[in-house]
Amino acid sequence: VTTKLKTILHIEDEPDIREVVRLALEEIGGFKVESCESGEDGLAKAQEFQPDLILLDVMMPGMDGPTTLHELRKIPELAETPVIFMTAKVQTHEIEQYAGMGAIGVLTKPFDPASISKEIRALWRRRGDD
Amino acid sequence: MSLVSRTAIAAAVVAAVVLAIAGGTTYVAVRQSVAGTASDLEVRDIAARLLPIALSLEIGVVLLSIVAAQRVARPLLDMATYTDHIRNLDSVGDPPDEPTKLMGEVGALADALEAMLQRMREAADDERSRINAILASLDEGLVTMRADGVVESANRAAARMFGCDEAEMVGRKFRVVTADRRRARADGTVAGLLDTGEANMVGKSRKLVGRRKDGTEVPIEMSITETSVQGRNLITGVLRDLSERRHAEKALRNAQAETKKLALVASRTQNIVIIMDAAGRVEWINDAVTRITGYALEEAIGKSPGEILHGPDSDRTEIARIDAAVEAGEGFRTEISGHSKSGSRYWVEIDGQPVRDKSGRLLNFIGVGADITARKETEAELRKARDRAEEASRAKSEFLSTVSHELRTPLTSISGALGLIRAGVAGDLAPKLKSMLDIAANNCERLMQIINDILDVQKIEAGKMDYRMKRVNLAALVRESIEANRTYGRNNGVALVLGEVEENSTIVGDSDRLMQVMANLISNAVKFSPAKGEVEISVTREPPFFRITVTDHGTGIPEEFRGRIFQKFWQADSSDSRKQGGTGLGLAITKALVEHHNGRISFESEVGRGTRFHVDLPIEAGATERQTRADAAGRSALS
Repeated sequence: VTTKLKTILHIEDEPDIREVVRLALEEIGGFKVESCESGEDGLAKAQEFQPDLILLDVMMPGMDGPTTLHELRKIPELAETPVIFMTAKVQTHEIEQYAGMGAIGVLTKPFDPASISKEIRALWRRRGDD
Repeated sequence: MSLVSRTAIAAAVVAAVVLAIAGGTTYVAVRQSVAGTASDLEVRDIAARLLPIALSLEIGVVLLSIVAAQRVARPLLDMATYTDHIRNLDSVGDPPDEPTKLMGEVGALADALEAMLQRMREAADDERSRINAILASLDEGLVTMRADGVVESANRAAARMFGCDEAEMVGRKFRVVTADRRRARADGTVAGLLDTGEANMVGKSRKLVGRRKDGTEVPIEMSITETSVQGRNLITGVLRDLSERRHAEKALRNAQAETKKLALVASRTQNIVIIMDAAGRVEWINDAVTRITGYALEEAIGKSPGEILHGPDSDRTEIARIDAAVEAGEGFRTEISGHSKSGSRYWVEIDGQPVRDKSGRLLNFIGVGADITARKETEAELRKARDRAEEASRAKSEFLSTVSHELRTPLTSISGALGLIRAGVAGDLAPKLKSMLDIAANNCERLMQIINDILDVQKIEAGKMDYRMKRVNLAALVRESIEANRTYGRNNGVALVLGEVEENSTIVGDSDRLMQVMANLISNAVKFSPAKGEVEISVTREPPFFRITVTDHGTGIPEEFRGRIFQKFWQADSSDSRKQGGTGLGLAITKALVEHHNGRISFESEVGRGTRFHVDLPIEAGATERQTRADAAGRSALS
């Protein structure tokens, strides 16, 4: 819980958003970020990269966010890796539904690149509270 | 003189004669014996002397005989007197002493007689009590009368018929009035009936109308017989009160009429009526069953419900349930489909109930129901329509959700990129560039607000808006909303001012939705305020509500538009949409959100002076937190 958050794997099918997030997290947040464009790629990259946290888009073609999370939990070394969903689905019940899947938090799109790093750090610190 | 007295005197006379004969014989014998030894004179002399003695002796013997005879005859005399009294049971006067104190054989005989009599008395008493009890218990009235119609005795039932007690009837004339009123005028007494042309009613039974003590009449059936008791003629009348029978007959007639009506109803009603025997076999069906199923009565008789309700779509499980209920003697209620003999499908609703006798024995099942084919078809149509509507709603919801997602995705990239540049990731910005980036960012935000509003409208209309109802302090909520919108106000040159605040203003509501309400009202007020204007927000207590008031000093709402400002896509001036920004959805959404809190929204406006919006939220004492979704009220608010 007290480990400092350094590395983040971002899984997102939209290249523009991947780029904006990468810049925001690296340039403003100071994190080391790896990105990939699908759930399948994300599973492979996660085992290789072993990130402190995974930022996972919900709606993606092929393996969507929830399925990717489910598969991640089957990999022993990634079973405990904290995951934060990012979604443009902003209805309350949708957000609660994603939160209930085992993610430590849900960030909605659009987001403010100036503050997203702070929000991720806040969720990272709070992850043990639940 | 009694026989006993005469016997005693006769015995005495016989004794005297016997003694006289004995004396004469003795005298002759003496005279013969003396004749040989004495002269006649001497004999006469002796005889003369002996004669008084003999006479005295004879008289004495006679008296003794009389006394003795009377002593012997007295007990017999007492016995005779006593038995005479017993024989004449109806004689008057005190009975003689019982001859039980006599001694000897006669005394013993008297004792035996007395014991026998006692037993006879007791037996007679028992018999009398038994007969009285029987007479009293009879439902039929029993009256004995003299030939002139005077009542000598009456039992309880008879007295009851005439509304009096038994004693009141005795000694009075038994008045009856014949059922035939014309005859009644002739004579009203039994004697009259007997003595006149009605005499032949003896031995027959006929209906009369009796007159009760209170003057009312009672229908009676009366049988009269004549009997002779101890030489006297008595008329015995057996009476039956026909009131109850007539009531019963009337009830029976009514019941028959009722049954006839019910039978008519059962036969002709459009509803289904089926009567089954205890084994669940059809005994009778009405015309409606024939019309629906195609089975005539004679075809249906003996069939089970399952045999009539057949067809490829019939619910076999339901039929088995009905058969099981019938077999168990239990009621059932069902809605089931069947196919008529001609193959057309029908739906019936049947309520089957067992009919039992008083001992609980199952007699029949009666099934009553209705042809619900039309209703079922309508329901099926409605279901299809509802399914289609739900499908359309789902599609619409999905479409909007997808559109929202698809619009947000590029907006995320645009606003993210703008945000990065404005945050200096790409280096320092020249003032003009920063200004243009601000415009781009603001319009990005505006576009996002439009998307959010459209999504909210869709959620409210679909009843899918989520609410998390918790305890909310309105004073704190209003302060927070002022802070959240202060920058927006400042950017538009309008100051947000907190007015009167009721601190004790906790309600149960969704704080996020209420913040949305405040944001809408404050942004509207700011938009329509003049530069350097002021918007005042207050919270007051106005039972049964807390009232939030947002006051601006802007242009006001023209009279002709005031009835439409809560409608969707409407602004006072269509050009305002662009001039003032916004989608025209804000107030419609606001109204729906307020009404979901059981609140109300209203406004006062004066053109050129400003507008005051009031949001009234109910003071809910002891209200509990809850989670709800928008209901029909929410939808109607947007319609």
